[in-house]
Amino acid sequence: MTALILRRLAVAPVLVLTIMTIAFALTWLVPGSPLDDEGRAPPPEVAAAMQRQYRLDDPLVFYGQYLSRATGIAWLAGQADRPFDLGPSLRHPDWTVNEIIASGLPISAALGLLAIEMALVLGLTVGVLGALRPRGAIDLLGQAVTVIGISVPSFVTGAALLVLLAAKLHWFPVGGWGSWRDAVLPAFALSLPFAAYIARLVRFGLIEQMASDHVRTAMAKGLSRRQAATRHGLRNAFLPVLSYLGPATAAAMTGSFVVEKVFAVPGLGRHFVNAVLAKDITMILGIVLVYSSILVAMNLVVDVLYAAVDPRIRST
Amino acid sequence: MVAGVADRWRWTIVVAIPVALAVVLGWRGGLSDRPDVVIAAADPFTLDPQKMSWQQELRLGRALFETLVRPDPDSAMPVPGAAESWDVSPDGRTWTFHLRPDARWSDGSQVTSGDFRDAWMRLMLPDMAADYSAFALEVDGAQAFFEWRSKALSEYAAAIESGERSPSGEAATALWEKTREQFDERVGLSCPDDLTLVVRLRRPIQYWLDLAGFATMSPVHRPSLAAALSINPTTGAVEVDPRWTKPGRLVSNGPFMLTAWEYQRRVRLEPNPQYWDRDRVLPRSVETRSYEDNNTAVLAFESGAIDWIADVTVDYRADMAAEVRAGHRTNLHVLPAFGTDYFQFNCRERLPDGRANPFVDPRVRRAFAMAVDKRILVENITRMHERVADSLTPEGSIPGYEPPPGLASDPAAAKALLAEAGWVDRDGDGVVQDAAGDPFPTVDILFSTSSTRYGAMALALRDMWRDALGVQVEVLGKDTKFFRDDLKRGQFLVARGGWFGDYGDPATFLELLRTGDGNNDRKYSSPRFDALLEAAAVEIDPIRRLDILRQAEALVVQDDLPLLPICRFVNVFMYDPSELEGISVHPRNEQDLARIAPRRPGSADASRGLGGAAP
Repeated sequence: MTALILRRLAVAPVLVLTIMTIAFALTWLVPGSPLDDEGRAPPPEVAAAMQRQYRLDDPLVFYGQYLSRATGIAWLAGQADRPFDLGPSLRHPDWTVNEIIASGLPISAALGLLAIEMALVLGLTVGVLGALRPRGAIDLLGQAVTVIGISVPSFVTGAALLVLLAAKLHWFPVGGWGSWRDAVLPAFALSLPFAAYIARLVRFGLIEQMASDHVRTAMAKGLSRRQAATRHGLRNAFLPVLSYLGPATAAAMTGSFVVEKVFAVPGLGRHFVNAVLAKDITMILGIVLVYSSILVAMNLVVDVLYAAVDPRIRST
Repeated sequence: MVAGVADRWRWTIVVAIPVALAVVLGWRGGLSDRPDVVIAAADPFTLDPQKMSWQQELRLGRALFETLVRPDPDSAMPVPGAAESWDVSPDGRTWTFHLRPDARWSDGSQVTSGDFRDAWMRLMLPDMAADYSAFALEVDGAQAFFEWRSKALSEYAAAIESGERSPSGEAATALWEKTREQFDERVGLSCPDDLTLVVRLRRPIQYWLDLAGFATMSPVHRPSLAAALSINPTTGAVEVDPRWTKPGRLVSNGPFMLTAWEYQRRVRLEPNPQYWDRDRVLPRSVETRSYEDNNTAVLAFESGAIDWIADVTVDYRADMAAEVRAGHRTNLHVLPAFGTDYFQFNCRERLPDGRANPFVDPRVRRAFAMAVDKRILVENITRMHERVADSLTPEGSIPGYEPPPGLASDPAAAKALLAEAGWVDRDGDGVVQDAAGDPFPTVDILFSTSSTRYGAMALALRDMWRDALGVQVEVLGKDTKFFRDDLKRGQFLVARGGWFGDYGDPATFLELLRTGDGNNDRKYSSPRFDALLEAAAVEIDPIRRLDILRQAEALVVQDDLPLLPICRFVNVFMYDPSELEGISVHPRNEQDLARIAPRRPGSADASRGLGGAAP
């Protein structure tokens, strides 16, 4: 297993660099400059000075310098005063990309983790309840709700939750990010598709397990259907959920843009989409770096966890 | 049973770890108390006063800094600010400002004339890349200094690029010192003493106080700027450490100081205890919060979390405006703005792809303009009932200036005018052709899809032009970046546009059509129009000057029509006038955050801030 981890760790930087290079090339091809905005056109002298300052005149020079600063090579060579410098945001000159990531990533990460947490609790409950009495009333209701959860986009559920629970019933604040109460609705809206998917995974896995020899033996020894399910069936039925959790956590942490927008949460997802719209190259690259690292890391974590849960994988 | 206990432990861990992580990551100090005034507004791009350009920044700039004079919110006329008085020479070119002896920075130090001189110098540096450099460039010698510095910088960079010289801090510093000498030598700004600033302009400017009172003309606290300044040895350009505008480092001289700024979240202001006129500052704290989704802002307003939405953009705002007109709603305020919404015609001889451009003929542009019924656009398409516009300059917003009447809608006359320009339906297929029998090229109406407003307008224009003129018209929506790219390259026949004025003079609109102006996307070029603008620029008599400008405007809105004015923009605010007072309803939208506060019981001025319904 150590070999597996080492191999994956060695490939990770190459993977991240490839993703970033593709992102850079695509961004560069979009017309317009991050330096011109909707407002007044700057005099040509100003535009030229800005191009020089940010090295926007030559993509190779720009990307080369960017990488050497971002990776810390420039710092090691003594050309920069700090490592991992992702540069200034081209659209928000008062902020460095490092500052923006430092402010947005914890928020998106907290939101994503909470959402996955809620998805697990919801998904397991609905899935297990359904599997205990397949085609019973609870199961049919659960199935219907999960189909809705998977198919309705989060800007709809988000807006509906906002109008109903926040604006009409005043149970929660309307948007913003400050106290734990602000996090409940966005995390819930974000968790729904994940919860639905987990519920379905658990239900089908558990129904299959309930028919297996070891669960039937347990019930023959006197355990109730529920006891047999939670103590013996769930252990195996949970495996597919575990492999789903890795990409799901990454997706919840990086894909919360819509929910962040609807609930006015100042997370990284929102900053990313705005950076793309403004062609803010340094911001795009910085966030792509973070996102691709999270994805690669999450996949690695799942592989390790999988090995820990299933001894058969350890030997390979 | 042992397995069961272990399972339970495992579940506890699975549940507890992410929750703990989320708590640690997400909440390192939240929003504490409810500020006196909460405003929903976009996050500023910058709080560096010289770099500001957007409405939300300029509004904060005005709260944080105080210019020599500042606009009165109700009339937009300049009133004393950091300067208590001023004199102007008979030729209208030399202005002497006398600063208040009690004007203080938030760190307690004296506001001096040098703080203004150095701030304005920043506007004249090409490497500062200030959007609003144009106002400072009206100072005598500033343009020459700007050009000298541009040349010096590009020579410096070229020498390093070619390997002639290696990047060195010394050479860059020497260039900077030389630049300061050049500034003192060339630019008409002097400080005879700490409280006197003498400004020599390159021409007499009647609206100079408007320019001097613009937020970007704020002074700069020299010690904190100096601490953040560095000179790039490779480009020779001055660079500022962006952290200097953050709370704790930003020193301001206005009614407020900055106590928090969190990216895309909130900006918090609290009264500046050193401000000379601190008694006029009403709120104890003001916060602007960024709501990306305007619908959320409206819901938050209705829940009481927000006091004022400075720009209501939700799709259903037209329905809310209808409720206001019917008397069922009092918290939405649709106010005429100092800006004009228009569509523009390409005036280039040919398009970049080589096609001939029929709109090069002013008669064709006039015909297209006269074929439009603007009332339908504002009543049925935007449904905001904006004031229909036939001129570029908004009426009633500049004292002493009444814009020319412009062209009235007249589809029949439009058709005749198009025929006069040679476009007649010769074969009876419903489409006009020129003398050689070639049909009028298909007119694509170019607009940006960033808002639904222009797509709907373009569709309506398409139908009006098809029906009235017998031309093929299509709509062409593009993403903002692509739209702007087409606009700059001149790859369009008709495109949407719009402009907000910056100061109380028609020039703020008319400059847009001057030959060579950076914002003249139409490439309209009329020697007569340029000559009128030149004549107005040197005219000392204010009445004669406005008359010349009126002639210039008449030329473009009645004869040449490089653009087709549709309506005045509106500022759409949401606030409850019985709860909040002090918001200005003047078209210039010069808001003074120092006087916007919760209305206290028995407030002396009950009428203030009672904004009107739709125009």
